[in-house]
Amino acid sequence: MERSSPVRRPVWSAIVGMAILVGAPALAYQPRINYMLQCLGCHGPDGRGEPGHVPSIRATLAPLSGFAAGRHYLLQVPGVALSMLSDRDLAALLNWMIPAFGGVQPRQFRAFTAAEVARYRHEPLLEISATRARLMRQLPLQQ
Amino acid sequence: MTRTARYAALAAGLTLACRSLVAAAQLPPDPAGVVAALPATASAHWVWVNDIVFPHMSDGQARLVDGDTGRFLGLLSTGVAFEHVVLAKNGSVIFSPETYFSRGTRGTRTDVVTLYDPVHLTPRGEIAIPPKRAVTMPMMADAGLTDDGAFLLIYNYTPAQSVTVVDTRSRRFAGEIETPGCALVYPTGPRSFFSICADGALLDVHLDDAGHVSSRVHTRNFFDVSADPVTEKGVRLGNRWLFVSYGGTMHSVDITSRGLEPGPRWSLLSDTERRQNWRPGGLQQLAVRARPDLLYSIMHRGGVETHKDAGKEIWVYDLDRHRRVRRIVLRSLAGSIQVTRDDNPLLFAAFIGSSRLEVYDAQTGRYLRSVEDVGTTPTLLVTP
Amino acid sequence: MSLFDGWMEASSRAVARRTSRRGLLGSFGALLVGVAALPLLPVARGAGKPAKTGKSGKAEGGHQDATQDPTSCDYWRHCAIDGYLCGCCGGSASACPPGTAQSPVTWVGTCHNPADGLDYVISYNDCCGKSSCGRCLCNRNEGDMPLYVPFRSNDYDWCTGSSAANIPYHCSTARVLSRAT
Repeated sequence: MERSSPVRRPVWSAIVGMAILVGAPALAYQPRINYMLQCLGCHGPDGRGEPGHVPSIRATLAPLSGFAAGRHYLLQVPGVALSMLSDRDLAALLNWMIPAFGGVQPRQFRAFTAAEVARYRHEPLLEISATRARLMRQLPLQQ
Repeated sequence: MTRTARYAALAAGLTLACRSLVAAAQLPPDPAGVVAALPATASAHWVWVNDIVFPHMSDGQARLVDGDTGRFLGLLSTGVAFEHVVLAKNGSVIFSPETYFSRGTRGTRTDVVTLYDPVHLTPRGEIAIPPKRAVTMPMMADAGLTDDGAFLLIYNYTPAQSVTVVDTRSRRFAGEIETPGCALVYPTGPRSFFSICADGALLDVHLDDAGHVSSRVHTRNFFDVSADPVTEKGVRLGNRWLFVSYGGTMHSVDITSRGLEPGPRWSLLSDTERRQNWRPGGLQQLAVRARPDLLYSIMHRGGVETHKDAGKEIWVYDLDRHRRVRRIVLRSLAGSIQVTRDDNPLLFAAFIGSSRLEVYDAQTGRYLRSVEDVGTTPTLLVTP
Repeated sequence: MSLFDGWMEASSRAVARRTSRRGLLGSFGALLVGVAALPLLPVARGAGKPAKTGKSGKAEGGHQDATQDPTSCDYWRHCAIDGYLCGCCGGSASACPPGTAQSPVTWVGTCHNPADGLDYVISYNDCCGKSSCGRCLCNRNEGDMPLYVPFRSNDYDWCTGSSAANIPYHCSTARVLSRAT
């Protein structure tokens, strides 16, 4: 039921064959797999979330990545900011998600870098509902 | 007298004799409607065995046992997916965060905090709360009172994370605090608590007197989540919260005038014991007592994936010298332990896979007694 | 070993009679260092009705290798499952029993399949809306994290986060999403 999107440049890393035991070094998976392990459980296989319960990232990811406040929000939501993924793997994950869910081509958005992730993820959002609501109102203006 | 007449006379005599014996032994009738009540003051040796009743989760219960006599004292019927009761510090009321569905196992969900009379074990009232209470394997940190008992805090998971605040003085819902990325409630003062965040930092929350947020800070990292995470089954002694990791390393969060500070780390295990794969495990795996300050930990042997397993041993540590002082071998597996707060403390041990509660002397480890049928799936042990 | 047997016989709990030995490990019971090293135990001798356990040779599905038996707690996909196996409840490892709702909100982990040597991404969706199935209780915790890392934690009742799924937890599935590597 999960169809993998073609990954143009798989990110292979060391020690992926070992059993997943806590205590092993954090393993680096392809972004598609990281999405499953870190995000899919709540946001769903296609990023649609659950109306009223879990926000859709499918609808908002690409537009939010288009302006500064939106990009900061994406890096400060708890699932991203508090993730056990490295800055580099988080950037790779976001850059995979935007075309996969947002229906935009890679060259149509400014890719996240590890440096940008590092800059903002350490200021996790505490006032999350209000910030999201404000940004959603700004979205039409940013298009 | 004919033989028949003789027998008749004998029978009549015996009947008269029996009847008068019966009349002398006859019990007075019992009055109807007699209902037992508990003493006005709880004993320090009582224990509430909380029971999520996993195979029949609509029938949650909190069941009260006298640890000294082994007598079953009564129970509370506490709804769907029940976690645990919270006892008011002065014993005047029992709080119970509960969930109900309008048709038992389906329908409209309502969550309430029920207030129970501690003597008659009857509901005195309820406070409606958002139907968001986190339903988890029962943890003590699912709900708790601030230090002066003014606020009851309840962790919510929908999957958005927040904390419901109930004002116990006005007996009203005071508000809901967003705690994104952070879980559970660990009270730290009359108007403060922390939650543990997914990155190993803490969310340090302070409330005003109305129960609203006055400050909320995501601290620096306290715990390394990736290498050897601490379990969420922390226990508190004075101004220190103690947490143990999968690998048996003790961490602490100290409540100081400067805020929350990490305390010293030390291991429950010698190098040999670590090599032998000894590790802490269980559902309510730690207990503490004061004077002397001691930590009790359920221990078993197993790989890291057994970090929730019950064990047959409890290792006792001096918290000042970070040294083990006793190794108690239990008669049965334990997944939950609790130690009473008095000067002749009891150690209670239960296991979710058993209906037996075992009682030991907490100072010597001597087995005292067992109580049968304390629950279907006993989870958390709560003592006054 | 005899201690475990003794405990099993002494237990008066109905769920103990119906679960595999492996199922009583994890938070529900463990005395043992390594499961694979142990001989099979009869479940609750004298309990009356013979239990249909998931152990190899005695599985409901008749499989000899428990790691390939979906009704066994040792099934390879169940490396971090926590609850009743839907395969014993009228569903399967990937399907909910009749009249229950599969919760779309869940947690996702990985398990290793010894049959092909690969790691797979496993989604542990719960089936919800009826009271507990009560059969094939199983709790394993490979890679499981505490509640404060919710998307890696099997200790949440995952019958949450949607209108279809209410709390009444019925059973757990273990759906393959993908190869992990």
